[in-house]
Amino acid sequence: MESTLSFRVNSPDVIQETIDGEVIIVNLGDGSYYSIDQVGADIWSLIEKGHTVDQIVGAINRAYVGSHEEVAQGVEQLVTQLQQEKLIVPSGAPQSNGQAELKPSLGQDDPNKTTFAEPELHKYTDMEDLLLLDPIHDVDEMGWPYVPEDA
Amino acid sequence: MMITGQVEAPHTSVRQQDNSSEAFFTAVQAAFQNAERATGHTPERFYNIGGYTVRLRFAGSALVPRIIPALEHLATEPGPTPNLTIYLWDSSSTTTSMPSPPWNTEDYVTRGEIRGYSNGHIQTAFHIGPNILSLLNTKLNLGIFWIRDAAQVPYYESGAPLRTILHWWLNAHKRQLVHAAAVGTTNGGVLLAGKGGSGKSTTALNCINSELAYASDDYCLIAVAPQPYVYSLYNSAKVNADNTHRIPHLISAISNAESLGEEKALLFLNEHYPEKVLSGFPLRAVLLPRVTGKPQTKLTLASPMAGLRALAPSTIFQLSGAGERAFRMMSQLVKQVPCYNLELGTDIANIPEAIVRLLSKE
Repeated sequence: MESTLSFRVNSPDVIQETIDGEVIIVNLGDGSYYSIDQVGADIWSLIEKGHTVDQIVGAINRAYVGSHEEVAQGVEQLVTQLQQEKLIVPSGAPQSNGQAELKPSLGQDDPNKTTFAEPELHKYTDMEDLLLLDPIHDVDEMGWPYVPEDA
Repeated sequence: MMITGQVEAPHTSVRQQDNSSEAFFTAVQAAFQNAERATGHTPERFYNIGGYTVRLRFAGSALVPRIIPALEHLATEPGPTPNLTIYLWDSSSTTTSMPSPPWNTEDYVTRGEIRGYSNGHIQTAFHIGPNILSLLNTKLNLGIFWIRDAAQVPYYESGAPLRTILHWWLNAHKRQLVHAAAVGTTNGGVLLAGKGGSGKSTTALNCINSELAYASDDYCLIAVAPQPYVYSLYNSAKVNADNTHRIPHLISAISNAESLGEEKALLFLNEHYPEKVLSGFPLRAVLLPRVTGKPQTKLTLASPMAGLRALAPSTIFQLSGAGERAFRMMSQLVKQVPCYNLELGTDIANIPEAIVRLLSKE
């Protein structure tokens, strides 16, 4: 993955809310919704701010305990998943200059740092049928749809 | 002519679409006025919905019994300056035709939305299936409901009438329609949030036999300021035909007993138990019901995110035009009140008791 790429949320189809470090994302395009927490939520917040993949890897590296390779792989994997699910799209030039940081910023050897764990994107499809396109229909002489009785 | 499949619609500029949606609204408004003149009879009803006065003006009487029963518990005195007026008519009983739709068949998208016809101050939706057209002009505070034939209003629309128009208007007036049941007393109550089959409707109906009263089984309104509040919207309830044995105390209130082979049982509680239907209450908690199969009902603390997950997707996916604003309001709500898992036991009487105990603590 090109590390200088940045992304944006695929609005207006994709909307999201964050509560207590957990993100819920709703995709109005296909009736799916998702949750991400912990590391994944941090990565999502940095994507929203327009940071490049490189910048995000750097910020996660500074905030969590883990090897650079581990973190880079985890970030890239989540970004790829989010793209595949059409939740984010490339935004072109980065919207945010300079170093990306998560708050609060912890020192390299801070004992309060959490160990990096591979971020997980949980997908829920139990509401997809609410968004099914309308049934096959005929149209009357004025052009208004109706559903034939045998449909 | 059979229409299937999707074809990319030709590009139309935003200004052209604004003019088109406004022109179509004006044409439909004129058609309603023709329908009024054709029938010579324009019954009106006034309701207090979410704290706002809403006037329904019908062209002829055919739609009246299909629309008003679910709203009657909110009936209020007529007044000269309603906040919102909705015109309702059908072509069959008024012998007045509707102008042809100006959009292409490939412009129908999900949630009844029509590509390019909801922008600026005009909202447009056509729900294929019930075949209902909904329009709203927010500059005029005027909505329009049309169906080809009043006799074709499906039972589920009679149970939750004008949902699309009311959602659009109320969403812009700090009231959010949500997919949830609601029970309580005038001192406070709870929302029951969850997808279909989670037990929220049956729970709400079983609470009628207790000191709790009923505000909703499927859709209601929430406000988050100045305090979290639930407004009842419909006094109706729907129960799967094979679940009516769970509500023996309400069997006589089923309005469509002859159609239970094809339809859910539809009840209008205000007609039979008006004293058990509330117009609203302060919200104290959001409950997430789940059938357990165990005898006792239990409440366990749930996270705000669990509450939002139970409430938001099913609400947003069902409502034309629902998006960020709706999501934000529901998110605010679950941060303001506690959320609990309501682990439903098989001892039905235990369920309202558990909710009453919770409300006495909250």
